Amino acid sequence: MKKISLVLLFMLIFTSCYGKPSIERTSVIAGIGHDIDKDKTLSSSFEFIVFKSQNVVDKSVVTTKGKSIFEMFNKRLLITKRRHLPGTVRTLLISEERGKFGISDIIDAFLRDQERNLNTTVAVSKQRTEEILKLNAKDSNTMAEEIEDLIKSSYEANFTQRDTNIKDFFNMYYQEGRHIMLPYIEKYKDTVKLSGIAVFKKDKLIFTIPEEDTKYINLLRNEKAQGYLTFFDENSKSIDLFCNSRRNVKVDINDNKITYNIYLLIYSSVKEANIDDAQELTKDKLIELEEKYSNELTKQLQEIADKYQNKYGTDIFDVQKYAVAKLGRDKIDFIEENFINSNIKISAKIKILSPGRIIR
Amino acid sequence: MFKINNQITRNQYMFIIQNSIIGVGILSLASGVCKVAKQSGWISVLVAGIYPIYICIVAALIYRNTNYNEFLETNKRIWGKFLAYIFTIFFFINFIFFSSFVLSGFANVLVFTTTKFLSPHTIIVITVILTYFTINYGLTNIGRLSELLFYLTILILIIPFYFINKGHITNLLPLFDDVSSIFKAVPETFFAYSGVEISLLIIPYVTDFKKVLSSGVIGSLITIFIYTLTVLLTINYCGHILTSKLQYPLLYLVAGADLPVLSNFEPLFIFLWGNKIFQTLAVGGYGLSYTLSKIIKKSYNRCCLYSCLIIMFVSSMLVPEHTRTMVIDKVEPYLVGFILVYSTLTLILSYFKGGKTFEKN
Repeated sequence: MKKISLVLLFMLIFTSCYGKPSIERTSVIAGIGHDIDKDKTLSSSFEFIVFKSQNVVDKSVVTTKGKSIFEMFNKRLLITKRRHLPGTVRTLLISEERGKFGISDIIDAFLRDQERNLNTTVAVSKQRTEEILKLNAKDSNTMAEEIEDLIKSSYEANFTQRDTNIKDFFNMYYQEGRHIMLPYIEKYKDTVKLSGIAVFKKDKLIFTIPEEDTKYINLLRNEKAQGYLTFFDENSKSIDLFCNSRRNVKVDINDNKITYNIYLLIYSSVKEANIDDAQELTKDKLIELEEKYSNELTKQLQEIADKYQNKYGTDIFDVQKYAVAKLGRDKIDFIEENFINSNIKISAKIKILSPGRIIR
Repeated sequence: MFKINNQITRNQYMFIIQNSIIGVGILSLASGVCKVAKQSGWISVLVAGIYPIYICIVAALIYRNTNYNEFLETNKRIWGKFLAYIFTIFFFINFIFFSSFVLSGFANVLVFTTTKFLSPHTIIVITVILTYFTINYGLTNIGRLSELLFYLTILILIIPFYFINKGHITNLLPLFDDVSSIFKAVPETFFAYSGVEISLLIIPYVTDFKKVLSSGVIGSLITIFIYTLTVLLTINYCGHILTSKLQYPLLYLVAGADLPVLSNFEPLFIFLWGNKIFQTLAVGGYGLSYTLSKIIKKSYNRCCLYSCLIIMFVSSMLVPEHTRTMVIDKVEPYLVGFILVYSTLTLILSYFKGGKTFEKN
């Protein structure tokens, strides 16, 4: 017994932590924003929570400039009064300009540093991140939390992508045939809104998809997504469907020409049918509607796919990975180069599962 | 001072085999195989699983042919006195490497993840003291410990399952891109599968010899299944490029699991997994002390002290992770190769040189 207590005592002496600031001197970082200035110096902003007194929580933003990420970190410690814990970051925000400059250093820092949280949300902002983080948060304590909530709660509509986490960000960067595609937010009145998708090639932002096309690109890109689709008939009366989409991709190769067949199966329920009152939504009528809208949607999606394929020649539909899986990992260059010449065939099929509470 | 008891049951033998293979290797296994075999790395892990199964079968057959005498007696019978001592010394060296790799790896992982404020040497000293107290009571104690810790393995298994539908199947295709690279990646798994050599020493202490062979094989199969599954799921989620870049791919998965309530699953995982390391280390320490006591003909307890000091000294030299990886890459293929040759030859010779049972201590 004596021996065991000696061992325990020995262990307790050695396993203490010291040489670190105590908990009162630490602060919780909520968001990090990365910008670039005109003369190519980097700039980063930290948003952190300040506990003023009991139940009073405020926030503050610090911006520093420098040539590398940790040079800015050094400078930040000269300004801030508390030790910052990088493990609590909710949102990583990258400005559009910084994206165009290249973000490989950010990827490396976040992946290499063991202390960083792997459940951070990543987004691209139109304005400078400093400007966005300095806005007054309405729903939460900090803008970073608000942006995270905005992105996470948007899954239910517009077929918004779910892979907005930093792990997915690393995956999109490192997996062959894929491109980084992140939610694009912009300042809207005195808050922020989701307004598109930012598309990267390697580590550089190349273009952003505008708001009006985002829904259809998301529908084409995501394996599983949710959203509302609206169709109009000749009398400009509308029908709204709540849809759950499933994507299936098949790749055919003929004489060095790659054909991507994207099959979309959309399970939907009618949420609003402002069509003729006399019409009853019987089985025949629903089948007729299914067929009509499937064709309409296929046509619409094909137009958009052709437009983006011809304009940018970059895979924004996340289909190249299927070609890599079929042809082999060493054919990646061939696949990337020939994307602009390949065929993209889309066939969407809408299935109406339920007409809702009223049937006439 | 300590009462040594070496008898173990058949189930305890199975658990010892199963637990002694899983060690530090599970954390970094995916990284090594993906570097060479790319997306087919998990097939290499599956193929390399032949090694522990083979050793278990061979060990059981050797002892069956020679009537379950102790390790040194059996060797003397088969190889003669001089060579028997040489082989015992070889196993002694093998267990020095095995234990030191595990201990230094454990210290490195702890310093890398949860206990950044500690020096790795402190962790080594404390762990060695724990190991000393564990192995002093003999194999029975280790068997009981293994039986208890086996259920922790299931907990460790649950974590990768969180990612089972999160990845994408295209990360694993095409299945056989380059068949030769799958075999080239097999040496990367040797460290992860080492530890099974203990079966060559402990079979005579099993109380029931009837199903020793199948117990060993089942123990190895459980481990192979866990290894293959973790590597498969890691590649499925991260893709082979990211997996080969990471130092501890399994820890990356664990840290990334987004669970409610817990902000980070990593410390809890390290806590569970650390208990397994104490067991793996105890097995290594037992093998070391056992062979040492046969070589220098001193009491087992005295040898425990010596072997703990040896482990402590060698693992302190392997402290930065890159040094350890370098030494493993150089040493492990020779150790595994030698054990394979030794066991095969012994098996063949044991068919000719059977005999009656000697008295056990």
